[in-house]
Formats: sequence, structure tokens, C-alpha cells
Amino acid sequence: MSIGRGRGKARSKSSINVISENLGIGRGDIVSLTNTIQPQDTFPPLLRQPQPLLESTQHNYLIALKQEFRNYMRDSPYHIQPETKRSKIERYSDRFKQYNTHKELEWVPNWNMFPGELRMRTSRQANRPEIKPRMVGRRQDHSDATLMKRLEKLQKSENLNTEDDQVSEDDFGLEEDDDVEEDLDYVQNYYDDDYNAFDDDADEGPTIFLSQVVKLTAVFICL
Amino acid sequence: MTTGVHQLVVSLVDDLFGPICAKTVSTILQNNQITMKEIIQHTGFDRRTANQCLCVLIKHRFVRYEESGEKIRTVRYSVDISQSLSLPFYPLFVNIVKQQHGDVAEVVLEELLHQGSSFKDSLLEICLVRLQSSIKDKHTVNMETLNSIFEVLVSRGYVEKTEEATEDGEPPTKKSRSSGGVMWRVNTHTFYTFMRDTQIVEFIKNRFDEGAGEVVSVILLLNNQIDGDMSQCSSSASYDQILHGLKNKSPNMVPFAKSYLDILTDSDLGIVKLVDDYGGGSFLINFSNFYLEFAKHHICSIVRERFGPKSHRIFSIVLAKRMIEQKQVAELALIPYKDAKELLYTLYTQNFIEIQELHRTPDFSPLRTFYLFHVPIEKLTSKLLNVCYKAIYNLMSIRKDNLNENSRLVDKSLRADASTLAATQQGIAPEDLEDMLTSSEKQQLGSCMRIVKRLDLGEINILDSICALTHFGNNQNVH
Repeated sequence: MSIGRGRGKARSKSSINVISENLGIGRGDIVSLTNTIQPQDTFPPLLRQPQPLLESTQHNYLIALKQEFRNYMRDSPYHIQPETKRSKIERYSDRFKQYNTHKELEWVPNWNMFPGELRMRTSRQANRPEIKPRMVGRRQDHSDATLMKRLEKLQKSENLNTEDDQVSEDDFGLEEDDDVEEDLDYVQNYYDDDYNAFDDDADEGPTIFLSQVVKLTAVFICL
Repeated sequence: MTTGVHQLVVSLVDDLFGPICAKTVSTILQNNQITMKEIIQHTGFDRRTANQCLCVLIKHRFVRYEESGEKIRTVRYSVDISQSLSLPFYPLFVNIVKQQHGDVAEVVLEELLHQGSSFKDSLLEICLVRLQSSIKDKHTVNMETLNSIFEVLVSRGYVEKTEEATEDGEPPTKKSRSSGGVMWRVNTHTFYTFMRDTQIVEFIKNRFDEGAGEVVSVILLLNNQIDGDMSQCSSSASYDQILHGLKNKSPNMVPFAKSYLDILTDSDLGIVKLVDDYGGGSFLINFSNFYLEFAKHHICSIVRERFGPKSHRIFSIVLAKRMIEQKQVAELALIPYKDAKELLYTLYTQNFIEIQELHRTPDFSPLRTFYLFHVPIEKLTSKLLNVCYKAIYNLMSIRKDNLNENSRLVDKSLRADASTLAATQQGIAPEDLEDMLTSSEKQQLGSCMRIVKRLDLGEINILDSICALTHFGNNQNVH
């Protein structure tokens, strides 16, 4: 009988018990183990004192570079600030405000790098007047020779007109001023919107601008 | 990739480009690949803001895009995680260039990192302005020197053309001409390769001695593999070439070259290998073996610092024997069986060690099963890498909290600095000015800045481990 009982006992052993015995965990240990399992602390206590951080002049330089980079990026145009919050009560005027507070990109992207859908009309383009400035005269007058001819013509006509009535010329002059202003706007826009802002040199800008003014005035006086 | 990495990427973007870009990035990360419409839907930004964010992020290579579809083109955006994670390394890159090519090259690289990607002309113009305003001897720096330095950086592979320019293969098109040339960016792979080479030399110096390190550095100099940090081996260098290189570098090492090479090839590290026998032999460096050894070295030191010397002993035995039973571990480690078991199980619960079951009989009875302990190196490396990223994230968030708490003081000190600068430019001596900050405020600000500096130092200290573990992981993925 004793043999049989022994066999029975051996059979009744569950596999978990065998594993735990094999691993050296006693009967009572399993219960105590399951009871103590709890989520870890956010800041578990350090068992050992950690090694001190490596510090040298090179490390200090790296830190300086790191902080400089961070500060530069924070102040750069690439750092996009959240818009100022609008009031909860919607007002009619808000529609216009929102439109105006849109910040544009402060840098000129090379659009080859980006997918086409990211390219949006800037508000400067959107604000451009519908009426296109008269470009015919400007386009024709590219060479200096034609310009000189026109100036000569102008002088002749001026000599003829001096004795004519003064009032009409004054009116004409006013109109002309307006036109020139509008067209100057156009000239500025034309050069501002140029593809790459870095291309137009600082010294080149004003000279072109002046020559345009001369040409334009010439054209309008002609007309 | 895991949430830890995602958190870090979002935090890095937040640091540089502000909360709006950070939100965009986190949305893209959650959805993997995503269209503009979905971005707007998830973030709630208007079209213009989303456009601006994406422009900035694409320019700095945090986000890339793919266009698909024939008639209706859809653009899908995804986050370039590996590129984003190289951001903490930027100071190291700048420092490498400074040490190799001097201060002017440093400024060029730094500006290129600021811009993300840029035209050469506009970049050099910015550099010129910056150099002329900072350096005392202005006349030494002009456009020509900048140009030549830029060319040097390109030839060393630190700066490369952007993909758009290189992949097209038709440079003189109308499109590229109107854009004013090619865009340039920093090639992070070259820097990683350089860092790897320094690590190899350091490793060999620590294992053997200075001379062995010199020999290895000569072999690395002769390496002309083009695929950078992805290659498995260096190109082979003959004995003569090595001798010649040593003559130039450190002539007093020449007589010992042969014996150093013998020692290196005989060692069981397998980092330096003999490939040919004729003419004194040719040698190469096996990077895969180095990555493995270096990763092991890092993991072992982590175990030692975290679990103590006894655990370290047990861990290195398991690592060396590959598969081992716990009784043998206790015997080899010369630690009492009960203690050894406890240490082993601690390592097991922390996932540093795994158990492989080997059944002797087909009934899977635990009595007739071997329980073999082993170290899952690949798994462990990626786990530790994530721990490192998490650590950087934690350091960054503590820093941000710290600065947020003291934001009023920081702003005030900035204003004070600006006003003193303006006053000194007007000719007022700084001593005559009133202090805008009180002494207690100064103290508080000082302690805040000390903490920030300490946290930054922590971030920089982690980078070595990240570099080692990433190299190992990448190498495993490739092969």
C-alpha cells in the first residue's frame, strides 16, 4: 500500500509545483510573491549611488553649443507661435481680424523641395488689386534709344503746349501722379515676389527702381 | 518604434519649432502616413498654419512626403524618425567639424544646421555676416575662404546635396535653374561614421594599449568604403600600406607594427582580421563584430552599475557561455547557489536574461526539461536604447518645467541684458546702470541655470550609449 500511496502522491503534484520546486521557490513563497506585485513607483529608490556625470571643458563647450542652438531656433522664423486666442463671443469684426492676423512665412521657401499643395497664395498676392497695371509701355520701352526718342518727342510737344491752357495740364498732372504711384506699387511687388529673395542684390535694387521711374514718367507724359 | 521614441521626437520638435509643430508631428506619428486633409482634421488647425508647419518640418527634414496617384495626386506625410533622433547629436557634429577644420567651418556647419537645408550662396552670405560681426580680425574672412571651406566640407562628405537635386538626374531643367541651384544639407551618416571610428580606436586603446589603437586608426584612415556606417567591414589594407601610414602618423610605432597586428588578429574579439597572406598580409576591420563587442561592453557596464558586481559576474558568465543552466552559473560564478539564483532571477524579471526551455521527452514534462539561461542581445539593445531615449525625454521635460517655472525671471534677465547692451552702445558704462534684477532674483536665476546646465550635461552623457546601441541595432537590421 505504501508504494501505491507514494505513487499517488507523485501524480497529484501539479506541474506548477514541480516548476516552482525546481526553481527553488517554496510553497509559501508563491503566495507571498503574488501578494507583493504592485505597480512600480514613478521614481523608484536608487539602490546604488550613480556614477558622476563626465565633465570637461569639451563637455562645457558642447553644452554651450546646445543652448545656443536652442535659443537660435526659438527666436528664428521657423519657430511658429500659436495665434492669440480669440474671444468666445463671436463678432462680425472677428472675421476681418482673423484674416489680418494671419502670419505669413517669414522665410522664402524653395518650392521644389515641397509638395505643390503646400504652396499657398500669400496675402500680399491676395491683396493685389484686380486691375492690372498697364504694362504695354514698359514692355516696349526696354532700349535706351527708344526712350531718348520719346523724351525728344516729349520736349517738342511740351514746347508746343506751353502756350495752351494751363488748367487742363494741371489736371493731367494730378492723374499722372496717381498712376505713377499705382505703378510703383506694382514695381515693388514685382521685385518682392521674385522667386528667391537672396538673388536680388541690395545694390541692384534701387538702380532698377530709378530707371523704372524714369521710364514710367516718360511714358505717362507721352500719353 | 515605441511610444518613448515618439514622445522624444515630439519633445524635440517642441523645443525648436514650438507647440504647433509639435502637435502636427505627434498627429503624423500617431497615423504613420497621413494626408494634409487628415492632418487638418486631427489637429484642428487652419490650412495656412498646417502649411507653414509642414514647410518648416520638411525643410528641417523632420517630415518627408511621398506623392502618389496619376490624375489626382495625393501627398502623404510621414515623420523621418531616424533623422529627428539625430538632433541631440548636433552639438557633437559641430564640435567634430570645429576640431578638424577650424572655427570658420564650424560657423558654416552651424548655420546649415540652423537652416536645415539651404542654397550655398545664401548660406555663405549669412555666415559672412555672422563672422564679420563676431571675429575681431575681419579682413581674414571673405567669400573666397568661405567657398573653399564649404568645398572641403563637401569633399569630406559632411555636407551633401538634397535628394531632390540628386535624384532628378537632369540638373539643367527650367525648374532647377529658376530655383538658383542645388540645396545643401548636413550628411549625418558621415558624422556617425566618424564617431564610430573614434569609438573603435578608443575601444582598442582601452582593451590593448595606445600602440594598438594607433595601428587600428591607420587601418581606418585607409578605409574607403562609401556606404558609411552601414557597411559590415572596412576595405582591406596591406601590411605595407599600414607601415607607410604609421611612418607618417607615429614613427616610433613602426618596429612594433607586426607584433601589434599579430596580437589584434589573434584576439577573440575578431575586430581586426587577416584576409590575405602574401606581402605580409592584408588586414581589415570587421565592424559587425565591433558593434557586437561594443554593445556587450555597454550592456555589461549597465548591469554592473545597476545590479552590482555579483550580478555583473553572473551576467557576463551567461553572456560568455551563451546557453547555461542555473546550477552551472552558480558554480562558475563562485557564488552560493541560493544567492546566485536570486541574482539570476532579478536579472530575469528585469528582462536582461531569458529562459529557453529544452524538453528531453515529447511530453513536455517540467521534470525532464532543461532550463537554459541566455542573454537576448538584440532585444536587450533595443530595450536599452528606448531607456536611453526615455531618459533624454525625461531630462528635457524637467528642463522645460524648470524654465517654465522661472519664465518670468528668464524674460526679465533677457530684457535686462538687452537694455545694458543698448546702453553700452550709446556709450554709458555698465557700472553706472541700475541693476534690473534684485540679488535674490539673481540667485534664483543662477540656480535655475545651473540645473539646466546639469540636465544638458546629462543629455550629452547619454549620447555615447545611444550611438553604440544604435549602430548595433542598425547593423542587425541590415544583415
